[in-house]
Formats: sequence, C-alpha cells, structure tokens
Amino acid sequence: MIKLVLFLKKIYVLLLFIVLEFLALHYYANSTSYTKAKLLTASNSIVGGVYGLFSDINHYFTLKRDNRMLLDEVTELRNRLAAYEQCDSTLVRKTPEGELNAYQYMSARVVNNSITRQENYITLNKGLRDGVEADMAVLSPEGNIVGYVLSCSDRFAVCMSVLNRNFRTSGKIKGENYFGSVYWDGLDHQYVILTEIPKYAELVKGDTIVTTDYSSIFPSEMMIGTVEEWTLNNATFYDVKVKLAARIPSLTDVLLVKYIDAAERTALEQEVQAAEY
Amino acid sequence: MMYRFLEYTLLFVIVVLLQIFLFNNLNLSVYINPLVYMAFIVMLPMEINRALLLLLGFLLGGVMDMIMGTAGINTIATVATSFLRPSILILTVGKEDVMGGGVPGIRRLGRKKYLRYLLILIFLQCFIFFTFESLTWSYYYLTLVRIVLSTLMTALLVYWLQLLFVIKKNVNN
Repeated sequence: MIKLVLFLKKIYVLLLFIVLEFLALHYYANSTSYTKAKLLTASNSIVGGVYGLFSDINHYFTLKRDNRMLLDEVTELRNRLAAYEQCDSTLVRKTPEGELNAYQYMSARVVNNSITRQENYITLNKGLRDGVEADMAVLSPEGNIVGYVLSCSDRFAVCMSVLNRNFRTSGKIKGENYFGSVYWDGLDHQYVILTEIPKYAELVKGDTIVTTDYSSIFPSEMMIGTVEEWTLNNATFYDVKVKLAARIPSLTDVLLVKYIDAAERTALEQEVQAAEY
Repeated sequence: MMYRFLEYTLLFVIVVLLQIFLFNNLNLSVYINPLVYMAFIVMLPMEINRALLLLLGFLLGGVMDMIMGTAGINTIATVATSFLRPSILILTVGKEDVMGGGVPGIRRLGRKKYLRYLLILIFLQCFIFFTFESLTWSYYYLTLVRIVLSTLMTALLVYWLQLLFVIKKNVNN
C-alpha cells in the first residue's frame, strides 16, 4: 500500500497532465463552428461592452470615409428607386399582410473582428433584442458578402466570416450560369477560392463573381469579388482565385439581410430530403 | 510562494486583457498572431510546484479558449508547455540556476540562457497552437511560416513585458 502511495506520488504530475490534456483534447474534438460561436456569444456578454467602447473610438477615425460612402450609396439608391417607380417592381410582392419585400435589411456595427486565425468570426453589436437571428446574411455597406450570423445573445451576434475555413457558399460568374463553391483556403485575407467551375467557362481577369440563387442565406447577385487567376484542376474544372470585394480588415459597419422565406424554403427542402431516406 | 500571489494574479489579469483587447485586434497578418498571454507561464517562479504549474496552465488556456472561442486549442498548448517547462528550464538554463529559484529573467540567468529558454518555450506553444488550428498537412510549410513568425513576435513582446515586470519588482524592493 505504501509502495502504491509512493508510486502515485512519483507520477501524479504525469497523471494530472494526462487528465488535463485529455479534457482539452476531448473538448476540441467535439467542437463545431456552432459550439465555438456559442462560446464566443457567451463570452461577449462579459467583454462585449469593452469591444463596443473600442469600436466607438475606432469609428471616429473612419467618419469621413463612411460619410462619403454613405452619400455615394444614397445617390445610387435614388437612381435605382427612380427606375422602380416607373413600373411594377418584381421585388415587392403583395401578401395578405400587405406589401412585403423578399429581403429585409438592417444595419449593425462590427465590435470585434479577426483576420489572423484560420477560423475567424465577426461580432456585431445587435442581437436577439434587435431582431437578429441565425442565418441572416452579413454584407458590407456596398453590398459585398462578408459572412452570415451563427448565433445571437440578447445584445450581440457572432457571425461566420468569409475568412473562416468552414465557410461555404455558392458563387458564379456574373452574366453566365457556371457556378461553383466558394471557400477560404486560410492563406490570405484578400482572396477566396471559387472551385468546380467547368472548364468550358471563359474566364477573364477582373470578371465579377456573384452569389447564386441557390443559397437560402445570401440574396442572389451579391458581389463576392473579382477573378484574379485560375488553375485547371484534374483537367475537369477550374479553381479560381477570387479577390474579395469586401475589405474585411477595415470593416466597421455591415448590413444584415433576412431572407423572409428562408424558414419555409428550408423546411420544404428538408421534408423532401427526409422523405427520400 | 504566497508573497508573490498578488503580483501573479495581477500579471495573469494583465496578460489576459492585453491578449484579448490589444493583440487579438491588431490583425497584423495571417502569419503573425502573437500569443502574449504566455508571458504568465514564462514568468512563473522556477521552483514552482509542477502540479500547480499544470493547473495554472490549464486555467490560463481555459480562459483564453473561452474568450477567443478556440475550443480547447489554447488549453492543449498551455497544458503541454506547462508540463514540459521544468525539463526545458533544466536543459536550457542548467540545474544550479533552477535550484536557485526565483523569476526567470535576464538579470538572474543572463541574456543568452534566458533567450534560449524563452524561444524554446514559446516555439513549443506556437507549434502546438498553430498545428491544431490549421489541422491540415497540405499547406504545412505555410503553417511553419506562421509558427516561426508568431514565435519571434511573441518572444519579442514577452521579453519586453518581462523587463517591465522586473523593473516593477525592483521599484517595490
């Protein structure tokens, strides 16, 4: 017995090490993007206020630029509005509750944002209280894609950034129907990869890449970026390097977009998929 | 040990705050991601109980994981470095100096020994952290670039923090 105690005393540090390391590895192995976002949402209720303070200070330095961009935006929107006022818009539908847009927009401020990790998340200063919910699209003020909402607390929302290795959406060359999958390879915060573009597609440097209709998160025809270069993969499809249109490192404000029919659409899609098994 | 309790609590809070509010928001580059909170483990007294060292490493990693949303990566790395720290100290600094105890610093160990200890410990931490973060062997040379640059950056910052910590202690004395 004494020998056992002595033995344990000798190796208890090693045992403790194994136990602690096992706990950490266990947690790591069982984590998903969703649990990570949940963790961030929880910690934001403590440190979020301070993030907000810092972003307030940062905001003063970009006021001039933001103002100019806002003015550009207003001018463009007025132009577009003028076009719609002349004819019946397809964007506005009549429903029993009255006129309803397919998408609902909301603005929010970025209070925390990283670009240096492999899994980057963005924290916004609006949450459940303001009507933010999971799977809303996050766009830059110019309408370029930035990410989507993963999880919300009362006052904050944590979003999956385009610069996250788990991010996936579909993209296509504007004006053509060749589409592929968009993801980040974790190497450079200015570029994402558009893969599985058929080799018949004619690519030109500077071509615009936009979102497709297939996403239940992003509205279609939203800008992702421009074609930078491409390589032929397996002699069957192109991997296209796309320069992101949104400047994620200097992002201060974003637009949140809610696809109003998302729930109905995904429910129906899931129903069909479930029926097939 | 107890007389340093307050100082180390303060150090813990300072490195955690620095990491969250300053260095996590610097966004220098994908390749430079300093893990400055390691200053706490670097600066713990050399004669510290190994079990306590492990528990403190676990606590530090856990807090960082919670706030950074990294789900265990920080803890995996800090627990491993805490476990290996005594051996690294003996290897780089020598048994006599370790037996002497105290805070590892330039004054006590000399610049050469101290830098050797610092670089190896920080490299170990960065190696584990970035390997687990990337979790792919396909671009491993780029992960290596991240490890090396982040190690150098972290070591520089910890070196500088350590100078401040030592100066503060001298003023107190």
